[in-house]
Amino acid sequence: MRVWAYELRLLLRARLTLAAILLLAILSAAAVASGMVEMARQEDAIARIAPAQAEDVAAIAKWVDEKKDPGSAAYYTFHPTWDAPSPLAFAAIGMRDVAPYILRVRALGLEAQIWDGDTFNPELALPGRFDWSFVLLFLVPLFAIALFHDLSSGEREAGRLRTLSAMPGGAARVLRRRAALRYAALVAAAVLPFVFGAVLSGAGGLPILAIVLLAAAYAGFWVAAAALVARLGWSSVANAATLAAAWLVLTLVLPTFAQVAIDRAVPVGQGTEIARAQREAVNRAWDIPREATMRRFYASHPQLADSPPLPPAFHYKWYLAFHQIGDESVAPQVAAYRRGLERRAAAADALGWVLPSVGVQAALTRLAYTDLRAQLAYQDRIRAFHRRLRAFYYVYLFRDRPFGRADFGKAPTF
Amino acid sequence: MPVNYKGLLAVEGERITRGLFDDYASRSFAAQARQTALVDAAGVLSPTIALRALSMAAAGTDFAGHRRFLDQAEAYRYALVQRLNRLEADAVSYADDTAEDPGADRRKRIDAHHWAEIPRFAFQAPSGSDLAKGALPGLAILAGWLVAAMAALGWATRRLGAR
Repeated sequence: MRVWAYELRLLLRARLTLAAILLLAILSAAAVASGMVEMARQEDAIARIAPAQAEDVAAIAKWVDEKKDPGSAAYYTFHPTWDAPSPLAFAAIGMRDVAPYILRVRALGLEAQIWDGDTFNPELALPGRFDWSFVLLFLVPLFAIALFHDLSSGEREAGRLRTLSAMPGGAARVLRRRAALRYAALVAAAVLPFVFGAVLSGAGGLPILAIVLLAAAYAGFWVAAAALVARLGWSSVANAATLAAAWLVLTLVLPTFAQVAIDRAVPVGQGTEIARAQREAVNRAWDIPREATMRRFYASHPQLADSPPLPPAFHYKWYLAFHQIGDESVAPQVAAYRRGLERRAAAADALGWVLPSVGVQAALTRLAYTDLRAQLAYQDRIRAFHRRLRAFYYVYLFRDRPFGRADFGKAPTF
Repeated sequence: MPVNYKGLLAVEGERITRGLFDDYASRSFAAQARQTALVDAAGVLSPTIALRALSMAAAGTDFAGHRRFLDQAEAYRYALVQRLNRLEADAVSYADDTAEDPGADRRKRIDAHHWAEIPRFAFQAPSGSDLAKGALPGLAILAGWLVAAMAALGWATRRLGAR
């Protein structure tokens, strides 16, 4: 035990090493803090929905109540949906910085609404977020390289390696002890701020443990890489240059190439293309006989087919029917788009088995529930909610039931 | 009345809502411009940021370029909508527009050649001097970095001689 205490004292006396570990701890803490501030901002925005929604609905209910037309209620009332951040989202913000986490939808065509997003400053989104996953993926390897590149070569250059080798157990034992201590300090500096933030956010013990182990394994990979390079017996400078090149290739160059390759191998259109195709299908309804629209609608909604025939004047049930048909007409494109996104994600996951930084990133966003799957799951929840909204308004519209002030309160909530 | 009142209502309504949207958009743009200015100022700390700001401004792909497109698209949209609203006021009679009989929908329609008369959207690309002007701050910061690097180099080579 005494030798460990001496080794620790040596570590604390090496100013550069100590400064590096402190710097990493500060960066890690800053990343955790900034992630938590961002998540608090998003939670705050979600909390502000309810009062604003109540105000909005009250204003619509006031004038709809005069004529009690369910069509006007369905057309003018927006219904909020939101995707609250998971407790660990602060650590890996993932897609949450550009993908919408609040979306207000109406009972009209969904494909014209679901691809909408919030405005954000494109120039700020460009470099990506400085979150804890960034610190772990890109900075921890650099600190590992700084701490481990001269572990044995530094001793050799200082002329101490032979003396160390002459000690009982040889140099390997001393160096292993030193490496273990540095590794523990490195992982602690990176992980402790995260654990603190995760406990503060109320995350479960198991996901926290998983991320800690993941971070330790990732740091271990870079320490092992340093040990491997050290075996070649080069100088400290050559070791550092080799490891830095490996870092550049493994964390920046190869993932970028792979991203381009995946995007080219699995082409997907854009959500806006689907929105446009849906819009054209919707607008066509104005040029074809209204009865044709209704026939098509009743074919997929037989339970409403006994609704009274359309009056000569405008009726909202026709309007909502062609919106529904517009959605149905682009369903194959929507499914194809989604399959494309999922195939891209699967390809990126497969790549994670080869490229540690990609694999760790994927695992982190999966555990933090901020990956593409989480984004698609939110879309699914919006779609399910929208189906309930439609069913709710259709009952009023197709049975010509009056829609009064009290009926606004009966609408489904997300 | 010689004009369709509903059309006039649409023209005025569009004018008012556009004013509202403009107000919100300009507030959002102002906030984003302040954010971008902060990032640009950080170029003093890192030449990478200055170089990125410089190259994006020179290529017209920076925030100003983004806004240039949005502004032009909005101006085009407004002109298009107001043209349609004026057509409703002039080419559709008020009686037809408010009628609800089965044939009213046909009478409310106007000829498709009106569409052909609407000009297509053409993006006005910024002039070279505009782009150059936008790149100036980044260029100045980068020049500052160059001077600093030169001074450091001069200092280092002087020490080189003494050794």
